[in-house]
Amino acid sequence: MTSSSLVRWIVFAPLAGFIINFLFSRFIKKYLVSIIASLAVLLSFVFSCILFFRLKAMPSDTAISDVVFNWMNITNLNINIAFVFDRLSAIMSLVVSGVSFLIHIYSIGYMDDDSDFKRFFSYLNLFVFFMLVLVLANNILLLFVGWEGVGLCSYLLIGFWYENINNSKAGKKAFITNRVGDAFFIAGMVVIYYILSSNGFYNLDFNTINSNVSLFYNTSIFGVSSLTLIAILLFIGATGKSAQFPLYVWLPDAMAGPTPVSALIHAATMVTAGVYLVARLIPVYSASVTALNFILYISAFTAIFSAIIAITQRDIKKILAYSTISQLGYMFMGVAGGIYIGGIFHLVTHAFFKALMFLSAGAVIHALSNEQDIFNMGSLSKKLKNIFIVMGVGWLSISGFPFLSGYFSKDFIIENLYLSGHKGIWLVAVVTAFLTAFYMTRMFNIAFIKESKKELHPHRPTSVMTIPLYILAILAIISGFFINGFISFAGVNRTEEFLPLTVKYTPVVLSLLGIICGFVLTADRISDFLSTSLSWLHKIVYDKFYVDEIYDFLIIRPLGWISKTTFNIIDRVIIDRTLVEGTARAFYQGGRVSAISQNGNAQIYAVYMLFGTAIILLVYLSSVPLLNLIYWIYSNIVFAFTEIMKYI
Amino acid sequence: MIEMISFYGVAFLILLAMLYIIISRDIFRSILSMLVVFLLTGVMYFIMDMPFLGVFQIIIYTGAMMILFVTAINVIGRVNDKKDKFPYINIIAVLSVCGFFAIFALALCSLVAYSPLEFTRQIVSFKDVAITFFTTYSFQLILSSLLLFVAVVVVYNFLRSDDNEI
Amino acid sequence: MKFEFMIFSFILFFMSMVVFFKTTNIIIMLMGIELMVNALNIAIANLVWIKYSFFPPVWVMIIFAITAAEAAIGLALIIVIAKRMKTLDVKKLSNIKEIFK
Repeated sequence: MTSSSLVRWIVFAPLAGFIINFLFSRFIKKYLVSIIASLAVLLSFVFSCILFFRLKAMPSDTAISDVVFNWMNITNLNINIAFVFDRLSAIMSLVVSGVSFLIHIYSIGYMDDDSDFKRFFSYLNLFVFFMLVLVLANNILLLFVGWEGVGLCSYLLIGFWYENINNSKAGKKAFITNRVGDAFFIAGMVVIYYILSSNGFYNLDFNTINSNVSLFYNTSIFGVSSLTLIAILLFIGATGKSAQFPLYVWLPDAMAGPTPVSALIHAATMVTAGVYLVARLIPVYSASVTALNFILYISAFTAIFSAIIAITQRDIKKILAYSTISQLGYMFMGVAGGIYIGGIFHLVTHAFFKALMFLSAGAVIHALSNEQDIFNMGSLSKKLKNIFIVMGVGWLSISGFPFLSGYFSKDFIIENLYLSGHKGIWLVAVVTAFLTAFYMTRMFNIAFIKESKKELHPHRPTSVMTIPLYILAILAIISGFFINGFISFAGVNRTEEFLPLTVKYTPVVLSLLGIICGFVLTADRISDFLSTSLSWLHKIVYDKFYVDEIYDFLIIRPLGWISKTTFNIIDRVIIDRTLVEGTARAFYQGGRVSAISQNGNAQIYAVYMLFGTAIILLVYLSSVPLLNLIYWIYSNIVFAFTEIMKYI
Repeated sequence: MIEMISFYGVAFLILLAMLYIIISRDIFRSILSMLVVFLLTGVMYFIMDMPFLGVFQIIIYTGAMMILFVTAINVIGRVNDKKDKFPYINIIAVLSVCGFFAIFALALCSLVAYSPLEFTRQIVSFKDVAITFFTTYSFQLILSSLLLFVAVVVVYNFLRSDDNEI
Repeated sequence: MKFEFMIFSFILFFMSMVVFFKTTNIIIMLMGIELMVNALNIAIANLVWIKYSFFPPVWVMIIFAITAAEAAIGLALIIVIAKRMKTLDVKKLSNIKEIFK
């Protein structure tokens, strides 16, 4: 375990970019802001590369660590702000900083005529800072800091054009859904801390957690093994961030943000934070079969569910969003079912081709002046030739066309699913691959190849926008061939196992079948026939199986009702009316009642005086023996009477 | 014995006069019977062996004060008021009056019964009173005379008719 | 301190209170006050039979002076008010705003 103070500069460079841009944006010229932001991320990338090569030369289970300072050291808890650059975080930080750099360059062209140009770049830098904190953290609490930070930045960036209320609502939805996941994350952290601290370990480092799995294994909380509890709680937190089944609803609405944001956050980096978390804690997860099955079921269901929805969508960004959800399901299936490095490899290749597809979709939208409906596009193969080529590369990658990067990563995952015995999940994954190829081909066909219905005049994108696209396309093509180096770099031993030939070639065959079906079923006559005969099915699927409406009905409306009635009852009635106005009125009425006794009548005043005197005398009388007094009066009266009687 | 008979007689007459004040419907008759009460009180002071006090009573009260009352009524003149009827008897008022009476009477009796004092008969002469006035109570004497003087001045200012402003 | 005089002064006081409370004429109210004071004078003068005390007559005389002054000022006030308001009914005279205009 060596330490190097270069690690902290990977994280601090974008932070410095954010501070400079955010605080001094008024004094800096427009393009200088973007250059500062891009340079900051480039510095991050360069440092990551330097440390990567240094790490490669070191033996397999060492890491470079860097303790910045001690955050808190109270009685039972000791946490440092410390970064660790081991093999997993090396891969992640390279991907994050590299793709972010390319997207920064692209945004210079995309956001050129926007009035909030400077704010965009400061938010992007803030996001990269938090993501790098998440990826390089050496304890789970610091990871959570980065986790929440990227949630915040996604809210800021989705609602970037906040003048439109729908964008703000989408940002709010993203943040709140993330928050629900965060609650489970915190619960998981609490359980981890509880078990660790009752056994004498007072820090939350990943080293400590991963080497004390036996402690979790032996204790049980509420009847459940605490290992399973932690794993499931943290995974539910990850579903909030990585958009798996119950908490995925924010991702399609998040397409309301600018396209570079969609590319960066919702394709390449933020949504992969959940996958990174599970991969980081893989000793915990691989010890609990229940948790692994849970992850597999949910992610498989999510993958096929969102693939079905994506078949019918019209908005090009929404198709890509549902495709992201589906591919995230693949990543979780890869991490949980077999060799975990397969999921990470798919994460890397997915970052390349999904960012590529989002950016080129953004170029098309920009060229057609904010047109996002694919049925209004067409024949772009002639008019926007370079975009057509790079989008084609991305399309073939994600469909699993042989020898492109998507083919290698998806096949690895699917084979490992079969080999580790989850045959049902394998089937679901294969069907999803077919559907992925199908809807991607449909999108590509309708948007690019078919003749457009009306005359389009796209204006060609500048080279600032096209150069990142070319770089990403090249990466998407060649990165598949590095899979063996990737696996050995991560220190995982892979054994060659025997696979029946039909099983080995099924994914490829189904991908090609999906491509063919995509072309066939979107030809004019067949598509008209299908749209009239299956229109009811189409409507259900197009409306996303009404999941959003169910959420609205079950959760949002009762909450709104509760908060409104509580506000009315407690705030308006109790506090405003009863307590505040009520006290004032009580005093007023008390005064009105007391004023009745003052009516200017002197005789009544004399009666009041008499009352007062009577009370004082009563107080005096109570201290006097009354019976004796009455007897004395009586005897005196008798005496006087007898004396009078004597004289008569 | 003679004191007792005379005391009871005078007391009886004073009570009759008070009753007439309560019952009568005319202001003038009430005021005239108040004059009778004052006179008879003066007589009672004579019975109590304080002759000068009785003289004072007759001079000041029946002399000056009654003249003041009668003068005031004559200056005011005729007013358009309803005649004061016999006051109705309210049972709550009667009960509360009895209650007050009992409380005050009991307090007074306790004062009499439980005070460790000796009672004698003595005649206080005028000379003793005058000596006390000018020695022990000289301050009160000055104050009372100042008060009377101020009262004269105030009344004079009130009754100057400067457009009947108060 | 003769007991009969005390009882007698007490009865006089209460009858004067009845006069005071039962009338609506302001001059009769003043008269009631004077009668009350008169009854008290009898009670105080009664204390002269306590041994070694020479002072009750003195106190009674001081009270004479004060009462005379008070009656004079009161009557002067009543004359002015009654001339303005042209009524002697105490119910109508209980609002100070009307008296001062």
